[in-house]
Amino acid sequence: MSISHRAVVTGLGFITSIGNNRAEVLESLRTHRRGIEIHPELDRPDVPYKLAGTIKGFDFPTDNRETWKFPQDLTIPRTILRGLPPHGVFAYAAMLEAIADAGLKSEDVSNPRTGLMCASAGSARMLYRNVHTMLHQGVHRLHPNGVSMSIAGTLNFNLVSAFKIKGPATGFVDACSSSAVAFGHAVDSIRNRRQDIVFVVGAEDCDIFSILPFGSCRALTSATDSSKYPCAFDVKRDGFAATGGAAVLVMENAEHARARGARIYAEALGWGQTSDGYDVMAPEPTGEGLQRAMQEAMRDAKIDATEVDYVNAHATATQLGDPAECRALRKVFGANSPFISSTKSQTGHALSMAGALEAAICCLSIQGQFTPVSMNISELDPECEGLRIVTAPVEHGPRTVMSNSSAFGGANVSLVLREFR
Amino acid sequence: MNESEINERFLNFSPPTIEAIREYRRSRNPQLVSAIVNGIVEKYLPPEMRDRTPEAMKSLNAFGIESVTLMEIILDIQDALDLVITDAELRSLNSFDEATKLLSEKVAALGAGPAAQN
Repeated sequence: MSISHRAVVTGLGFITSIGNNRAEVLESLRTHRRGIEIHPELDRPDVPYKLAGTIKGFDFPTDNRETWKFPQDLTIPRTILRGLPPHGVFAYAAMLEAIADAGLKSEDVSNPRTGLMCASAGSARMLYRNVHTMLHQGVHRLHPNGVSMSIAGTLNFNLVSAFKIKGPATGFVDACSSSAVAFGHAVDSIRNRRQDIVFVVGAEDCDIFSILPFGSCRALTSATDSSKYPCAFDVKRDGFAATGGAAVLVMENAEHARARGARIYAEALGWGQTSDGYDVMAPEPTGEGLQRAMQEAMRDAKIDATEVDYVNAHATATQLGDPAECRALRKVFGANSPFISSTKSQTGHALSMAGALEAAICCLSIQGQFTPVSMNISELDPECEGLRIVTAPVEHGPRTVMSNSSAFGGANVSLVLREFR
Repeated sequence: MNESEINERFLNFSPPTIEAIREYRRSRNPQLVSAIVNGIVEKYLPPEMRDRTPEAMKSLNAFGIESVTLMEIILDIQDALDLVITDAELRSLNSFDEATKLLSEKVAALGAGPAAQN
């Protein structure tokens, strides 16, 4: 494919449980430092789920923005902060890092050829608090940004305004596949020459409002020991630990990136998207939908299965999800399994942000020539037979990687990234 | 609002403004309205403009106050005085001085006594 129709990643930004910038995240991945611990908001007798990937250095004790605490190097103007939910703060910080990391000038960021593709579930906390105020004190006691700080779409509304984005800005709502879908559409937008640069942003709040509802479908781990749980692919797995934060990828036309001398982390080679057509909550047990997503991604990337060196699996550590993905992986890769790991056992499951976070982790893996480990595995589930699950560090730097995401509704997305040459 | 709720809601407002809100909540004294509105408007002015608050009171968009900030000021005033400015009243206002006059009249009509606990 002509370089003018190739999409590459030229900048990364992170606010995550394992670090609040690229260097910290990379160090945590290399040294297997966990981001999961007992979340203070969940540490109550009436809450049966305690573990989460906490975001360090931020605090949102009340809804009054003047009480919010950030790392000292982060300053947000009042007229921007007033409309942000907590994950908007994370996204704003990660955007600043990604822009600097990519070496973009303000005229590159605010440009008709630069767009924004976002994913978040909105802010359940802000929605709850604002609706409560409206019902108990009246609509005229609601903050004028009450709607735009709460609903899904809050990221695009706020980031477009904060960074003066001039190109298309869109939000994607596909639950835990959302930011992987955003990534895919950014790839298409660049390959079709509609945009030169697209910011892909995934972000989520990280509080009792965003995490605990997943306990209703018994999807959360009830363990309290983060040195053993969550444990994707392990026989003892009992659910996921959720997390929040933000991940930003600067996607760019390869020719545009080369012309300005940008560092290129990886090429976004292709992507696939399918639906199970099966159930709202449960994955289709044979993994047929995810299998098709992986095959569609490889067809789009013009590669075959033997070229994939590493798969960052969706694998959240649920009873049903991990086996379905194992079956899909076996069907796609047969006897030639690439290395496979779930970084969610280290970071927590970032929900709609997961696809962007894990694509960014794949970029670090390609550039840093290391393979992330799947932590907390003491006994592999027999469903993993024939799959090369990375339970301990391996001397392997991947060239071509795949990142899987699955979600409510059986929404499957697979991304393929490769070292740029 | 009790005292601690007032302190949290009006965090970083000037001490005289917070004290006026506390006293108003106890007495509903209309004479406190001016100090409260002035103190709230002052909070939103750029620091270098705060000594020109009386001048800012003569319009609703002085010194670059844009529409959302204006709505935040109205929200703060409503929360401080525990009343609502209707759409029609808002549309009739051309300045914060006019708002102060309108609000003083509304408060006087309510009569003296402690404000409701919300």
